[in-house]
Amino acid sequence: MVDASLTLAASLAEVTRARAWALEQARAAGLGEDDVFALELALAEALTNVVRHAYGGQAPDRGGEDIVLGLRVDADELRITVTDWGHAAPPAQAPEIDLDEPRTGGYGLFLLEQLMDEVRVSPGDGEGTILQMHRRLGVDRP
Amino acid sequence: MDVSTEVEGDVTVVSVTGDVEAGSAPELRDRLDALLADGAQRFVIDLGGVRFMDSAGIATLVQLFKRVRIGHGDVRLCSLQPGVEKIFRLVRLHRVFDTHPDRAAAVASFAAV
Repeated sequence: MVDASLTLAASLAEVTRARAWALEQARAAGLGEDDVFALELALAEALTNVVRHAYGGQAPDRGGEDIVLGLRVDADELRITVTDWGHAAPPAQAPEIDLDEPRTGGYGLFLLEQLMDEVRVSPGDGEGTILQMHRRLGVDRP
Repeated sequence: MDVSTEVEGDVTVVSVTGDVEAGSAPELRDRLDALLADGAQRFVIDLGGVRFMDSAGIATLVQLFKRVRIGHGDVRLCSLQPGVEKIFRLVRLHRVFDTHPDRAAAVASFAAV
């Protein structure tokens, strides 16, 4: 079982580092390949979104403590919490995927909703945003 | 991430190795843009060396797809690892891109047109 957190600066290189960290935690916790895939991709999408949109692609002067990632793995569920202190943006609607005119962006939230059983976005304490995601483990999905 | 290219007849084969994510996708996009500027229209993207791809990687390939379609070219993918195949399915683009088990089959698919 895992109950760990990682503090990150707002940069895409840090997203890669967080993904590697989570992968290690997930493998150590014995997660199945489908669940590992969901964790890794959801983290990449969620953290990239924070770096690009909440922080506008620029790391603020917070001493490299811009994002706190929480990861909790119990026997039958995975919980991810992403806390930032950037600009809160209203949660976008997941777009419809149009096969005749495929989009060149906007897949992030759609993917989070596909990968997780629950995705909740709430305002942080005074500033920023808290993203909470939850996935039941070991469940066969289409 | 590493990107290498080879030309087989009128098909440009782009082999990608490593993770294609928000941090690395711009480099792939720049390489593809340069190939398009040189007149390439028929692409095989060999993803055999890619274990992880996020939506930035997907967006880069969709961009290429849309640009070559204007000139009646096409993009075929090959050698997808399970995680990459899964993200294409999740965003339902497995029905947009022709995928092939290996590079030879992907290149040969252009000859059949």
